[in-house]
Amino acid sequence: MKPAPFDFIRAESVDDVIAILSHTEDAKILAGGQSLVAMMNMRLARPSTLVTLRGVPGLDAIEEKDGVVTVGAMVVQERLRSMMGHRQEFGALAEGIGYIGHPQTRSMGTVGGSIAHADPSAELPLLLQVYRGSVKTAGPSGVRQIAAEDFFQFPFSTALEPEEIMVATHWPVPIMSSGGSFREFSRRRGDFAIVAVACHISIEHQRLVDGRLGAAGVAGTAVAVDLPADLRGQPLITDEAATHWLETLMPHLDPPDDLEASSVLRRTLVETLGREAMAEAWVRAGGGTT
Amino acid sequence: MSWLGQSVPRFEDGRLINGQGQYIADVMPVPGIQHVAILRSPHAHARIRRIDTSRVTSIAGVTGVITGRDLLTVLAPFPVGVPRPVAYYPIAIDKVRYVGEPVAVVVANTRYVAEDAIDVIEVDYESLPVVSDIEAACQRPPAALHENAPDNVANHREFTYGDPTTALKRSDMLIQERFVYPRNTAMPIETYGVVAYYEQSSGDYTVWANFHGPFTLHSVMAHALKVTTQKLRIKTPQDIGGSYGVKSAVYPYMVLLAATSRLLGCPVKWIEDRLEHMKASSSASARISYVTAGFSRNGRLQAVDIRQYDDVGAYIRAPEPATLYRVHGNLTGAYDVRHIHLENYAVMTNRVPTGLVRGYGGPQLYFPLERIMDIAARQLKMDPAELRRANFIRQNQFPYRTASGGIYDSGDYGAVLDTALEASGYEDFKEQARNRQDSGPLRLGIGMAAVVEPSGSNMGYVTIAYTPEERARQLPKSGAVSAATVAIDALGGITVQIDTAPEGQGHETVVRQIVADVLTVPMESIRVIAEMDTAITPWSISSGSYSSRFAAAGANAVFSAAQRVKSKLLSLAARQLGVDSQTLRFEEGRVWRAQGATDLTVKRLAGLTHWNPAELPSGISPGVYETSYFSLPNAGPPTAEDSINSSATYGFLVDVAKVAVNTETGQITVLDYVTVHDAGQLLNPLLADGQIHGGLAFGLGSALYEELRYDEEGQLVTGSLMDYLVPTASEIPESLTVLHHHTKAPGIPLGAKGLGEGNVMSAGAAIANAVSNALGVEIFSLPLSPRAVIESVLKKEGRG
Amino acid sequence: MIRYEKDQRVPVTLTVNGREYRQWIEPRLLLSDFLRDELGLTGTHVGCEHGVCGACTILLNGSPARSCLKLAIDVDDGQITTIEGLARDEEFDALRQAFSENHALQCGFCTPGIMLSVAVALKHTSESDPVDWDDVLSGHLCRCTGYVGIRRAIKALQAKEGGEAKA
Repeated sequence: MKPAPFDFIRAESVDDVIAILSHTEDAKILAGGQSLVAMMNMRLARPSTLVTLRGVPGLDAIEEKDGVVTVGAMVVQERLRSMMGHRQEFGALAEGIGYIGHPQTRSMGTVGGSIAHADPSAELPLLLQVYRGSVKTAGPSGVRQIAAEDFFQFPFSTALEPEEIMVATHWPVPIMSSGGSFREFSRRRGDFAIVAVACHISIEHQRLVDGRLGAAGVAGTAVAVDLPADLRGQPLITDEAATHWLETLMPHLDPPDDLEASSVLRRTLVETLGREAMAEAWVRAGGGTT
Repeated sequence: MSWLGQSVPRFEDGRLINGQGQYIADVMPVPGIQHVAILRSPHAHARIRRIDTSRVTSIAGVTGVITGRDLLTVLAPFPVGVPRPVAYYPIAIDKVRYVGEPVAVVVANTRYVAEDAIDVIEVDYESLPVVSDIEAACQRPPAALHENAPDNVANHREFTYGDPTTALKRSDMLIQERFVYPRNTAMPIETYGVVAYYEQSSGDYTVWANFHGPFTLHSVMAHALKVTTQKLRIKTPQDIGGSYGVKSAVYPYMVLLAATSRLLGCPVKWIEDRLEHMKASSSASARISYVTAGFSRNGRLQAVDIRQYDDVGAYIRAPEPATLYRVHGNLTGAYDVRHIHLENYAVMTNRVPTGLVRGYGGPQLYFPLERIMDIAARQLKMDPAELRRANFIRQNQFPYRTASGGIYDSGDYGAVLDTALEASGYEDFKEQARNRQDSGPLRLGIGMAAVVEPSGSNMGYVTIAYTPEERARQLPKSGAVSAATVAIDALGGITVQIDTAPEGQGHETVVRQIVADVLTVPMESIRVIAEMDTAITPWSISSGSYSSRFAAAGANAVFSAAQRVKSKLLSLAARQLGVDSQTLRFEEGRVWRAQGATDLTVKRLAGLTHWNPAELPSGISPGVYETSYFSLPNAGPPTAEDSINSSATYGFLVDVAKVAVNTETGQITVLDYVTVHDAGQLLNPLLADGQIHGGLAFGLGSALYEELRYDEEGQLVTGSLMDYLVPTASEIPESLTVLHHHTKAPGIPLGAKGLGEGNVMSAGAAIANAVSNALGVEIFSLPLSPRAVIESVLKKEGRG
Repeated sequence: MIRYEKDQRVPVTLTVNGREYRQWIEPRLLLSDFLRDELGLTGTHVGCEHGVCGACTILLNGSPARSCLKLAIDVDDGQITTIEGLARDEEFDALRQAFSENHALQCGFCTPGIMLSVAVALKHTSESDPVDWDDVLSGHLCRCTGYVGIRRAIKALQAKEGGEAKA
């Protein structure tokens, strides 16, 4: 299990990377390497050229401006998790990142790497969808901003063009009175999710004003839906409301049937975890029980 | 002060926690070592039409490449103990029979280059029908793996003890069920590793490997290399990174590397990678069992009829079919049953050959047997604990001769059960679980398993794969031997050499405890050499680490050798002092007589034998170097009636598991686990508990997570550590209680029985029984994945 | 940008256990193999080479990392601690003692990685931000101990630290 040979490039700017991607066949970007190097060790990935982003300035910054958190593509998952740990309005974010692998891989695995990898059962693509985030890319024809919903296309496939690089993700900051919850079902701690569910809720005066509910592991990409319009202004999440919201999510599911779980079980899990996540998000947003 | 029986922390730890362990990957024992990568078959069953290796040598750094055909010049097939062996080589010859089977060996200056080189080998395969289903393989074979076994059966035997036909006929209730035990494996974190060197001038092979026996396989390897045994020297590194049995099957690679070294003229090293290990090392045998059990109205088990089909993989490989026979003497576990009918099939399929995995043969037997007891209890409306108790061999029946020839040396099964029930709060929880039914998706359940744990395998048991008539034409095999040497140098330094090839069990520490006690010296004055070297370590065919044999066999060999040293030194002291040696004793490393201490010390006495041998009294030889071969009692060869005491001693354990099962998600949570063991006297309770914890983690893994799953094409679909689910810390319940009884092993000097495998045999059944109890559905296969649980629930609801 | 050909030897400088090493390596050399084969630091064990087992865990710039998932060339200028470095550090005497006394290791193959993860987690734990030990340990597979001894060792260490903090 040793990687096949490759040329190695230390890029020093985003333009470097674009130039390499535009002119080199089978070039791959190396971020944290937590998935790519494993694939290379198995020789399932054999890039002709590996471009490390380590020397590209600016990709490891986290900035907050005009109500948007910009997370550089090279920010490691553990760093985002610890920064977001106390941000109630991003309640599901730190919690969800905590389900990615293990501390020993989150310390090296990057936010950008995970999102670009677009594993349909991964946590960060789901979280980006739930927080209505977007992806900032750079390519020969300039910079693009792609909404999460448009970015993830198929399993392990995104809207990123071959000569484009993802430089950051944008996370709009929800209003303060928001709460979120993340639930995951996996065989072992730290495994890829069989099903993961994230819920984000914003409330004002004990009434729902906004929300997102999403799931991973149940379709070709993570999927998420808005709070149904008729639940807006409702005082709390009731069983019926939860059912209603879940019903709007269900048509987006196309759950796989595999060794770990049947598609029926996956649907059940979305329901079970979804209800738990909604209830918890409500409480975390400051919603009362009356 | 006596060290035996104390929880002494390990001497091994010092090097291991400081990164100074020396494992096979760390050592370069000869200069000029080149590195090996192995091209493996992508097909489960195919004919090799052509292998084109022409592009390999164009890669810089490559020494050479070898295929099966090349190796035929220096290899013979491995011998195996069945009447109808198949031709098994460590590399495919003309045909591949499992995914991952070696097809070509490349040698290069680094592993990286060797892997590049295997990429450019082209093999033309003609695919053949794949044999995957165990029963179909022998009943409606889609293909024959080997020409001389058209039904793919490598071994078939039938046994009758007592009068099972009549006993079953007279039973009030018959339970008849089919059980499936999956393929799973040991998955040590260190993979296989081999360094081999063929000395062209002498024709001698030296092979370093993380191999731990049984050393009877030394003769198998020598035979395959077509050399006399002294020409094959096997050495083990100081440390082995776990095995749990599976590294006994590194031996085909030892032969492969040895032959490669010979053909290419350089020493070679191969460190198996994880994907190779998962695909192509070894695994436990999967088993399908048909069990008929006859019970009387009051719950007495009258007779059992067992038909078992073992999937032994693509080649019957020594020591298989031993999975079928290791527990032959304890077929009915803890129960007093005189009538048994047994039919065994070892079936070959297009999967990796099987071999030792912790528990060897135990879980395959006890999962059905202990499930049957619960099924019977439910049907008879008896408590499962009380049904078991009613059938236990009673304390006054020991030593107990089982129907199939086992000699259970000692035990108090009822007392162990009592302790387990009390520690688990059995009655209370049963009540709690009952009250919980029908309130939400969460169900509670409690289940148990009672297991007679064999240890110290009798080398004769494997020959029961032959009929008595076939055996009569061979020389008999028997025994469970271990050897040890205790030596004292000229200044009193004590060195002990052992043949137990440990891989983490702590033998070096326990050996110190034993020798320190016998010679009354500090443990620090003793050095233990656990590395095996078949050229210099005293050993026998049964040497090695397997069948939980250290406590029963190895420890007593050390004890015996230490006693000989003591006896020699006391004889010398007696002659020096002019007294009878019976009046002398050792204390604090010094000779004492009734009046008190003398000035003779262990150091002084040993020194006399080295520094002044000319003046030793007659009958006292120079030097102190005592080797003892210890043989466990009651390990005779099988009789003409197929009666065999397959193990030298038998411990006992009862497990009680409490689970919560979510009927919506299929999630099983182990709330609490109690395991009560009786392994006789414990030599070191800290280490004994460590063995139990490890065995239990294995058992829980097999119950809930672990399975090597293959698709119909014979491809392994759980081929990485992401898919083959080894439990992590989170999957092992924190509420875990280990308790002990101490019924001495009567025929064994130190009184200890083996342990560490019992929970692999019990946990699958205990968890399945608990889940059955929670759901009110019978469980017939493992592991209990969420998917399997949901399917059981649906079946119960008539929706499956 | 700097480009290296696949079979070119590239100079890298790494500080390992406080000592600076400058070596010439192939771009594809894994950090695990660099430490073991180039520097002879065989205390870092290789168990799976796909990032699951955790045996090869080292500290890279203070954070635990799988050395089998890092290219040596890509951690140029990095600070690395392996078990050999931890072994020289008296600060971790208590950790070693707790592992031995609680029988937290048997074959010892997974142990160096686990000790490094535990060491770094102990450093970062505090009353307000306690370590999730299940999370830390889930990054390591141990096949010998059932993790019982490991948990006990951690508990013993925390009890000791708690005691010292109060004292």
